[in-house]
Amino acid sequence: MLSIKNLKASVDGKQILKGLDLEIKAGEVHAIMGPNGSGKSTLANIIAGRNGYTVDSGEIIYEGKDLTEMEPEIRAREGIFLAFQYPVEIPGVNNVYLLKAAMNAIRKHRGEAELDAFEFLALVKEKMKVVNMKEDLLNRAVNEGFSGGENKRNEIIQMALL
Amino acid sequence: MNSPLAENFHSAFATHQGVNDLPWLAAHRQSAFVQFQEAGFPTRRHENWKYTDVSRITKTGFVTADATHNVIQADDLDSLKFNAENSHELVFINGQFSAEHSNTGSLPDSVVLGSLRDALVNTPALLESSLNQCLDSNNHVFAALNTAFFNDGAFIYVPENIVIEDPIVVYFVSTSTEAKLTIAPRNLIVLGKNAQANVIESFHGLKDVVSFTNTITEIETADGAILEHYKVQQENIDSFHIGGTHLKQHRNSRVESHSISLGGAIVRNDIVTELADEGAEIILNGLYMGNGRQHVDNHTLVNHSRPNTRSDENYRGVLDGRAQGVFNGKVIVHKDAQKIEAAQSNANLLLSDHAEIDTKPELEIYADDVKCSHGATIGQLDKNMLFYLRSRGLDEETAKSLLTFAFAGEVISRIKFAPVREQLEFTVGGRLPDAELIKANLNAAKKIEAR
Repeated sequence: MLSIKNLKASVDGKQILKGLDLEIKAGEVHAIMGPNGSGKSTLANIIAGRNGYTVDSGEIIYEGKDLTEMEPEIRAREGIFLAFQYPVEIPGVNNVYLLKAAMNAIRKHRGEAELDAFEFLALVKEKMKVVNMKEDLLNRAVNEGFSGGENKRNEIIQMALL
Repeated sequence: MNSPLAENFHSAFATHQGVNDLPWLAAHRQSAFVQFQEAGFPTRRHENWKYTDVSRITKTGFVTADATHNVIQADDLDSLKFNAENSHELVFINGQFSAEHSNTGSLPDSVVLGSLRDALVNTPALLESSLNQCLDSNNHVFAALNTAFFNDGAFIYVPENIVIEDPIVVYFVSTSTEAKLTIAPRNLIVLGKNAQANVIESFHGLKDVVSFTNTITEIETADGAILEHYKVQQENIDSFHIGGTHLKQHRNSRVESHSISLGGAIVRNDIVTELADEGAEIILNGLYMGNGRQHVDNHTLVNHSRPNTRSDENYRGVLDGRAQGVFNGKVIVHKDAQKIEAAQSNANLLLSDHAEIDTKPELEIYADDVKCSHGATIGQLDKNMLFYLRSRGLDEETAKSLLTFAFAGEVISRIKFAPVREQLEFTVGGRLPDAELIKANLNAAKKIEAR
């Protein structure tokens, strides 16, 4: 499903990943451990396509497609989801807007029909029950003033929906 | 003094200005015109005009509008109105009052709402005592020019203890594509003791119109009066707008001012208030957005003349393309005006490498027991926020639009009057790329909130 071959990557000209190989098959859960500065976050950011992280050589193949040249939003639509350790607060952007915009962007990419407000809401409410999330989080600004637990729940609900 | 525009004004004043005026008004006009002649149009050598060059306006031979310009298609007018069910409406076409399109609705008999020109005939004593009383035209040459040339405008007089619940909306529409017109609306708002009103001034220009609007609003609020005042400037991108709102606020009166500038080639707004007695308070909210080569300049001046007065200012700007913005927020705490509170904030978002903002907070404090704060920020869109949104599947343009909209929304969300707020959400959303998605999201969120 995800296949990383001889990945070398750098940040600000400093090489962080020095030839990483990783095979992950569908259904597997992998945990990557290592001391501070060993490149765990760099790997995650590289896979998600964050600016400022440069792939020097190697490839990241996800479901048969090479991700390395893709924009972050295309990767997201292909199915990559980066759960943030500290999700950024975005004042003024309502959580509902983001969820709906993101979902519909992804559905469009996959050739599926966009959801209307009611279908969307029904789906969101169903998933919210699963992660035991309070409904008022929906109408708050993205991650603004969320507690640690609320942050995690919000990331999980995004993952479940997207 | 030899610019084409100055010459036009000169001959217009010589031929017909003041002829049919009441003597006291003719005297105001005469002395204002002398002030204008002595000062001339400002150049960038004037401190108050350091960042704004008006020569593009003065080189254009705008001519003063007259009664023949009072024409608009009903469709054109309807398309720019706010979606407000109950409101008192005044409509001015090229500065001329249109009784046909106005609807003042039902009001208590003691309230005066209508054209200033009519009021000069019907209630001259009321105007003599209040017109041109809140204005320092020595320091505001365009205000002097307005006094010399204004033809009409809104007169709103709300006597003691009267509360007008429904908003008063005043539309100014420029429609002339043939002549390049200069329009000088003059509005006067007088609130008696404990009176309350909400007033919206909305400026528009039809497509392909090139006009120069030089508008002045004077506001006097008596003890305990409460006013919400909105100025929404959405003239087209080739038009020029210079405007001043001059206030005098008495004991415990409260004014909330929202100034929104979206259109125009060169736009300048001055808001000058005097907190003339204890307990007076002003809230100043502002939003300006520019693209292309738009230039938008906001100057505010708050005079804390007496103790225990309060001001709170929050202006935000979004500048793209080669647009230039100017913010100058001056607060003067006069001698012995102790225990005042003055807060000021100006935040700017620059969306391109060529956009420019010149922002300057100015505090002059002559009292020693005061609480004052000010801050100015200039920034770009946050890279972490952008990446977060993109990592959730939003394309770059949409992510930028959403963040920009959120930044502007900080000011828009403070607008209490829903039809103005909603129209602005749509207008501002519509100026951003990929607006459809944002609008769709707004609608979706509204539906959800409504459930």
